[in-house]
Amino acid sequence: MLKNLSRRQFLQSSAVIAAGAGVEAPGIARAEATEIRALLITGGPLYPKYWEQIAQDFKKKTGITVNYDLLEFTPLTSKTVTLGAARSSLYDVYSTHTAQIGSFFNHFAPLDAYFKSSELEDFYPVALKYLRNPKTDKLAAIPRNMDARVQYYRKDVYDVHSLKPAVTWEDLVHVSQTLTGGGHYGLVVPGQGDPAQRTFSDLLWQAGGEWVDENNKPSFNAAPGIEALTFYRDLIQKYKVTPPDAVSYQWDENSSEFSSGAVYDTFDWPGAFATLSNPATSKVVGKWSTAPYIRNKQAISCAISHAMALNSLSKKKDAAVEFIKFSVAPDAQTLNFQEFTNFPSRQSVAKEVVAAAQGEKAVWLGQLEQTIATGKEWPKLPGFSKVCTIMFSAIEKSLSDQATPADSLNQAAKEALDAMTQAGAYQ
Amino acid sequence: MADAAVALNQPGRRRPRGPLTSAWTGYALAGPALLVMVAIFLYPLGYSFVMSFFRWDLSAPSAPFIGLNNYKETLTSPLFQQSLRNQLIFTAATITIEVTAGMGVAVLINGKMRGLRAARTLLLIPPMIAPAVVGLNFRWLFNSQYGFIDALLTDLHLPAIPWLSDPNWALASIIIADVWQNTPLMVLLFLAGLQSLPQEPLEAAAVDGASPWQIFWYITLPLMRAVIVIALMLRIIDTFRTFDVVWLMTQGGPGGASSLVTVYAYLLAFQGVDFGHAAAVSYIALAISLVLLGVLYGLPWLRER
Amino acid sequence: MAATSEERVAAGSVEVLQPPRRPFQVGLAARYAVLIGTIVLTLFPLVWLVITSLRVPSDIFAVPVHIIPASVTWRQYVNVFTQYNLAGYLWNTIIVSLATVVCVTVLAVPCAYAMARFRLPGHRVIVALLLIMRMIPVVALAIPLFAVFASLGLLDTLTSLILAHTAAKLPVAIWLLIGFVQDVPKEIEESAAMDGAGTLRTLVQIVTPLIAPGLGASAVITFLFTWNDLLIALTLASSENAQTLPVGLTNFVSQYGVDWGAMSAAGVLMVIPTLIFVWFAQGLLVKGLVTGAVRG
Repeated sequence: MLKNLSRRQFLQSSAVIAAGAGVEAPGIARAEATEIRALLITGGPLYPKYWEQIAQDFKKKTGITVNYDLLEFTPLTSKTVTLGAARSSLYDVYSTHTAQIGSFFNHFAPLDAYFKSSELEDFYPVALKYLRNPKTDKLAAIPRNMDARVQYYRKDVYDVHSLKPAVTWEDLVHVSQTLTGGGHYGLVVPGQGDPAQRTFSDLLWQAGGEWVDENNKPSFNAAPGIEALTFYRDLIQKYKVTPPDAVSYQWDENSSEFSSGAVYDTFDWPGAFATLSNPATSKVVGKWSTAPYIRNKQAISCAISHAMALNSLSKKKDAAVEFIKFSVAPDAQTLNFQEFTNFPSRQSVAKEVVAAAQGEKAVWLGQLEQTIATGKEWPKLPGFSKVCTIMFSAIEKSLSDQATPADSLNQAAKEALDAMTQAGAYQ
Repeated sequence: MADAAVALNQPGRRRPRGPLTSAWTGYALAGPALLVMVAIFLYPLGYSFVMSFFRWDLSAPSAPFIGLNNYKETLTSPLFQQSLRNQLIFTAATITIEVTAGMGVAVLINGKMRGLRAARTLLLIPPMIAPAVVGLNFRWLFNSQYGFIDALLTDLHLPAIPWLSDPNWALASIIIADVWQNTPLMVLLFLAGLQSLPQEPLEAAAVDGASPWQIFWYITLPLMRAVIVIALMLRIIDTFRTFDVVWLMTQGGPGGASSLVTVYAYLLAFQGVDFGHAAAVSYIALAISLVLLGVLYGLPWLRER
Repeated sequence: MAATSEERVAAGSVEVLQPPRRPFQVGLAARYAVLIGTIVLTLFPLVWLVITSLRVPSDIFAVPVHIIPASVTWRQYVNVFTQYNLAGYLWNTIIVSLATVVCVTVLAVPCAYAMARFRLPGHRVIVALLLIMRMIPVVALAIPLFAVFASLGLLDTLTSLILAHTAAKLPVAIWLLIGFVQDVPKEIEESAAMDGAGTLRTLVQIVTPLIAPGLGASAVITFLFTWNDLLIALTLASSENAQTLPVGLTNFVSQYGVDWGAMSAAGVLMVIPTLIFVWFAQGLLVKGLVTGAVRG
């Protein structure tokens, strides 16, 4: 009797039990919507000003008020999961990210109907590609700014030792070993949870590997995966060129190790450019420079994006889409770049800001463009969110020497296949 | 199972008698509180129990009924087995240390001492501090570069310890944080217990020439049974609910080495977006802690009379 | 069996306590050493928190670590109010905690009275449910709890937090108060009944004053555990409308670094009400914890 009870029916019946009677908010006619709600991302104490500006400009242009709540990246993701699981129609618009998009294909409405293909042409194809549901090919979110990583290194220290930033894996070991000592480390990498999976993923592609094969079966445990994880582990455990705690580092520790001056090289996101240039958040202002991400057989790392999505249960979809379009428009992206060095997702805007930039910044932007041009992302198949929990543990186990890279990856591949099969990835 | 644990909570319950026993009046009085609990907490409890029999996966298009599959998958998952093993170690270690140290300190400081009132006040602080503060503060204390503890060890010419990055030390670290937070509570519980003991048997034994150790072992400890049982129960229940401190310190890492069942459930729900599975994990944890309470109740020494 | 109520109450109120004759003859010096050692171990993590909050930012990531900072600054205590919305978190937390105490007290007293004095059919079921509610990890309830408040249209409001906390803290409060009610001599109520007092009047005018210490204990415990909660607030709040202090603490963690100085300052500020409560309500707290514990 209960077979295939849809989530919606279940929640509706439960809502009635909880509240006593019908509690559905009265629907407001689409065209008349003058207020929408959005759940947006923030980062650090300054970012709220950006959304204030965007919402003001949007109100001026359309007359629609955006009531928004701001959360940092991690709480934002958990909150969106909660809202999605409860099938909430509270927010019409979400800030989201390629990294988590696979969890929300059911909660976000496809945007294809709202964007002409000519409108989409301007966006980086790699960004759009991984925001699509691979099962339906529908676009779940529209990219707002690109997330890709480059190398940040201490130019002053490198110059003293007449070193050039590492290009290959071998260089990285050599350079980092030269610089490690006396309480300082040549390199820092994160080693916990999602940041660890991100780092492994880059190395996997650089070693010539892929997450899944042509049948979408896990293939990250093949030779390139083992090579990647072995290299990753050796940086921490064998060459000891990273702080010993790296296994427990998230992004914040990864960044602050570099900005505090304890470490001379790291791979970080675009926002780091602004953070590292600000004396309030960085002890190394003026002492660092950037270089391309390292390479091995391939020169690949991730190219993902912060994006805007529409709640599939929103009753004000038209107004919501207006706001989504506004927040990814060229003006909004330019402002986002100028204030926070967040890299545009529109190629036209990217071209402009790159052309206008000078010196170090121009070089850095060129490196980012390069990363984006060759960038990739892990697959967004059903069940892959759970595969991530398996990978966190497998990678950390290897990095902390609890299991060999081969053993932990083989075990993880087996569990990953089960998880994806159960979630219907192969139906 | 539940009954055993519940019965434990009702030692020597006085059955209500007398004129004030009308069930209707009783329910009218108890009703509002029961209603609030049922509406707000019991309903979600049932809801999540139902969820545990569905493939309630946010990334899947539908939520089919799958019977006991979530429970089967949980029990066979290596990460769950590891979390459960950690959980049992965590529970056993924290309780042993907290109860033993708590009893030891309580016995030693029981009696007339200067500054005992101030000391009690200070001892009440850790158990009353937000777990969020404790977790973040200990993550910082255990930092191998900027943290106090390794700095102190280095100053004392001792080797620094990789607290949060070594699998064994990571589990030890969360145990230490828990012991820090909860031992003072045990001290206060036992101190209050000791001070309410009848004095005659203790004095009689002292007159008979029993050694302090004999008095403690044969008289004080048996008299303290009730308090010890309660302390054990409280700690078993709470260790199976511990989440904030561990999540903020290690997120269960590295590689699940400090993962507890709640941490595993949280990861499954909020990263793995499989809420049915996460609910199953929680109910298995609940069942295990109920079994432990049942076992505790069954231990002959702890049974009264 | 456990001590009688009078002894237990006495154990809690330190003022009237007559320390029993020591059964042990351990050297006094050794006992003071144990006491001081315990206090030092208890306090040093907190001292570190205070020191971190007073450091100048460049000193926080200093290698080697200066255990005693060379210079101190109050700037972080200003920053948490100017750069972060600590005042808002503080206000929300105070409102939620106080309102929860009121709701819990008003609901728990009659319920505890009924459970202690009336023959309720299904008594065992209620007791079992109280226990299960006390035991289930909040993680399991996050989504359904969210769904309940979503359907009530109360998400992200202080009301939702007050209701959720009231429900969550009621089992402990009821448990604790049952013990206190059972210790009230039944003859007092019986004579009140003979004088024609109704049940409600007996409860309000006779029983409630007699269990005042229990009320105080349950209020203090409810307050502190509400004050400290992270998961319920994290689940139900999504904006500064309803974010509380423990949730606010997580806002000091951003992708490019943790603002350790400001976070420690917020942590210190958050501990202050705890200190005040503990200092002034010490007797009540111990009494509550012990009575609650001994009674289960």
